[in-house]
Amino acid sequence: MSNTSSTSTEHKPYQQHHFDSMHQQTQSTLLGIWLFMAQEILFFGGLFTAYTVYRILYPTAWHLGAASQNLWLGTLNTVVLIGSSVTIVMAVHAARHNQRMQVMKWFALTLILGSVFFGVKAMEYGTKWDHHMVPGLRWDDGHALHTIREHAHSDTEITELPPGIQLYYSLYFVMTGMHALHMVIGFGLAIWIMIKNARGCFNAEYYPHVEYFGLYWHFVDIVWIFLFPLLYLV
Amino acid sequence: MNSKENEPKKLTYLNAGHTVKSWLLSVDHKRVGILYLAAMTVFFLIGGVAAGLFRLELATANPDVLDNDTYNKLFTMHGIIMVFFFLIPAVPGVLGNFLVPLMIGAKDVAFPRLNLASWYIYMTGGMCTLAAILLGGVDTGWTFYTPYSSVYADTHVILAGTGVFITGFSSILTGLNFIVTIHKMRAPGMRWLRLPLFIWAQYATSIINVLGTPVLAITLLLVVFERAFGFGIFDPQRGGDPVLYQHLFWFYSHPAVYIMILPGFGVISEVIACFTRKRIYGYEFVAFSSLAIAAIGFFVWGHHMFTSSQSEYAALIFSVLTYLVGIPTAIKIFNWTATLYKGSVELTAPMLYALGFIGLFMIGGLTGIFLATMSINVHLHDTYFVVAHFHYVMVGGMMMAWLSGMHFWWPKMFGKMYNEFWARVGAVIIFFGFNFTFFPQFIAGYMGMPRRYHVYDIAYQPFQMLSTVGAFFMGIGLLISFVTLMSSLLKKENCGRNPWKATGLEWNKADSPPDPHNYPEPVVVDVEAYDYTDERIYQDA
Amino acid sequence: MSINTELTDDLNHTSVKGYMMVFGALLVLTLLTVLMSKIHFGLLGNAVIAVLIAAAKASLVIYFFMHVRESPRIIGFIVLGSFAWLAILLLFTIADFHAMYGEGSTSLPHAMPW
Repeated sequence: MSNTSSTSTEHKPYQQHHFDSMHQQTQSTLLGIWLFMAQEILFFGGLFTAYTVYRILYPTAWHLGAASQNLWLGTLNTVVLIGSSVTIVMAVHAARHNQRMQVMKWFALTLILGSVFFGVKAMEYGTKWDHHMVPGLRWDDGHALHTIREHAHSDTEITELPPGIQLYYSLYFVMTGMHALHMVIGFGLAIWIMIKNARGCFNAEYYPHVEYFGLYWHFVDIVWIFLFPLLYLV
Repeated sequence: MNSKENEPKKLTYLNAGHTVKSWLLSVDHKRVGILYLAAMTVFFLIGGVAAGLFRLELATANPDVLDNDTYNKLFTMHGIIMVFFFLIPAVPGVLGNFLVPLMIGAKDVAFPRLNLASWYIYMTGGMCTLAAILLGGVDTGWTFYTPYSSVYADTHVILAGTGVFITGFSSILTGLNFIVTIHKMRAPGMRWLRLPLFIWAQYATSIINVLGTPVLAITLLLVVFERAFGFGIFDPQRGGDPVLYQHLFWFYSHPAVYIMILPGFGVISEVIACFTRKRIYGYEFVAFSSLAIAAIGFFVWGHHMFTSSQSEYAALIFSVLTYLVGIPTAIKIFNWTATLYKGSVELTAPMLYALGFIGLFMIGGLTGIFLATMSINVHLHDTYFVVAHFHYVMVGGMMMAWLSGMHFWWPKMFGKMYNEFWARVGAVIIFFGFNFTFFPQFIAGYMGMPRRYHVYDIAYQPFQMLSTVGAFFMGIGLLISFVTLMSSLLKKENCGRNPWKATGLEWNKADSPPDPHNYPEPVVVDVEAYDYTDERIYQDA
Repeated sequence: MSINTELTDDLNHTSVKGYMMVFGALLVLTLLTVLMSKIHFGLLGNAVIAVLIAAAKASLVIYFFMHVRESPRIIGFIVLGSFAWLAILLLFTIADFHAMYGEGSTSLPHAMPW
């Protein structure tokens, strides 16, 4: 199943020299990007493993921790992020049809939606900071217990912090923090692509950056699709 | 050998650009391989010096050379540097980078700039780790077990952990690069089952790199976050579980040992085929066994945790699966040995290393099966038996394979043939030095000597003393090999395209040293691998 | 392979209409997962339902938005393979913790409530 050289004698300006053909280049790059996605799945997977183990060990802490989250903000963020996936899909669609201004528009919308996500996240982080619920950096048992009791919707009286509660919040911050970091990187990439687009680097035949950024952004969306129920809905 | 003194200087990857910048910014996979070689040699030296120091201490039962903390730091640094900066990147980074495109008939890897970036990432991680050493070291062991590493240690865990984290991405990206290269850039006619076994081995290694390393990355990051921010992830006082850390750590670190050894297996296949003048017996079995090892290797990590309060049921399953992973390896050993039968064996230096490999890796591998047996493991865990086991597979195995490969492809990489007599001397001294270093450790461990202790019962002293003397000789052997290889660079005579008369595109179609673009004329493959009946390999270049 | 010609264009790429249908499905599933969390199926039950719905959403994003539908088969293998490998880590680790601390074990203090 080896690749044969392209029969076309035309050498595209964006074909790199070590490749025999554009087809080989695009296929190779696609494979490379997906392998990168594979390692990202395993990267976040380690966090999900830690989450699952501690959920098994500390079910009460997990339940109360999730209850203390703002469900509406979390749902809003989920919808916002899914929306930003749609805008990126539209951007790729526009790139395929050589619609440069549309690509810019859809990218801009994506960044706006992403900013909304960050705004909401900042609010959530800020609230936890105010309530002294950041393990290691700003944690106070009394404040934490008060907040948890406020949000708990069970009938039983909660007299003390459940064991493992700090683990829940530690993982919450690490998991959402890693996710947010990936979004920040995505923002940077998006701006770079918008600049390249403005300079006319893409056309209907050649828009790999747009396509591959789309893959990256969708991946970030998928991580949140799993984070949301596990951290907010448990 | 041809004398080329009267011919005009040929353009090779070595002389195409003489500036430092042309080397440091080169995207030529061959130059990147040389960059890795230079860096790795320095790291190996540092790791070796650390070992030399604590071997001096271990020769006697009393603490006369090092204090407790320094001893802990030295074995930790030895482990971290040897594992993450030598064993894991050595064959893929140097021989892999150099040879993969050449062996498949490509002009370069799929992503040459990513390749160079991988080297810079490796160096950044290395600098971080060296900084940790210079600032006072780490004493957690290369395994960074929690909660000592995450809560209680007062050494530079964050810096060392970050260094390893960064270097991990070098492995991941190199693996990614090789997978795409092997899938997409084979020359016409280079079918999967015509690939050299080195390529199969490298492919299997790359899969493990991509799937396993990210888990180590996140695990070390969690330890770093716990230390830096005070998050309670592995802190027992807040409910954290050290066994969770161990599961996450070993999920990568067991397959990591296959990352270390599989490329070595690839080298051995090439060397044995060449110096028996035969196709490797059971080519397909050897090829697929690499994939089998990569796959099964992910199911056995719990054998590092038999005494860590892991449940008995998990331990049982891991034990049985560990026996299973020995089978594809055994298949390779049988097949290499079968290749020797009725072969025309030539005992060159690479072949001496390869033959040594077979014997020493077999001992290492079999003792691994002993350790996989729960009833035995309970007594031998954390003793010198384990230390001897992994040094037999990693040094007697992997390091010998590395040296075999370096000697074998040295003429291709640099166009110069090393002095065969001194190379053989080096190989023999290393072999004997190695066995005197590590065999006594099996005995000491079996008698019960714990590992990571520098003050020990006097009964173990004769074995430790012998081990230190052996290490000294192994060091001499390494020095001789190093000088032999390096001094070959001073020779004027070029060794010719195919001094070994080996099969393979890199020997028959590429110059020694190769052209910057590998194959100026496009390559088409029309022979099976290891076809030593093909007359063309005997033609002069 | 296309769902129907309205949802794809001539090169088998999903059409805008197709994407909008996927978007709609994702919103519905989001609503569903929030509603399901209000009903109590037990800690294990709720978690399984939540993960299954999330997996369905992720599958839609992967298959349609990430163009796996139009990609070479090897991409599909990579996706499934990565999740399968993650499953190895999850399953063995969870099994170990279940055996250590689950019901029927003699370890303290974390007996599982399922």
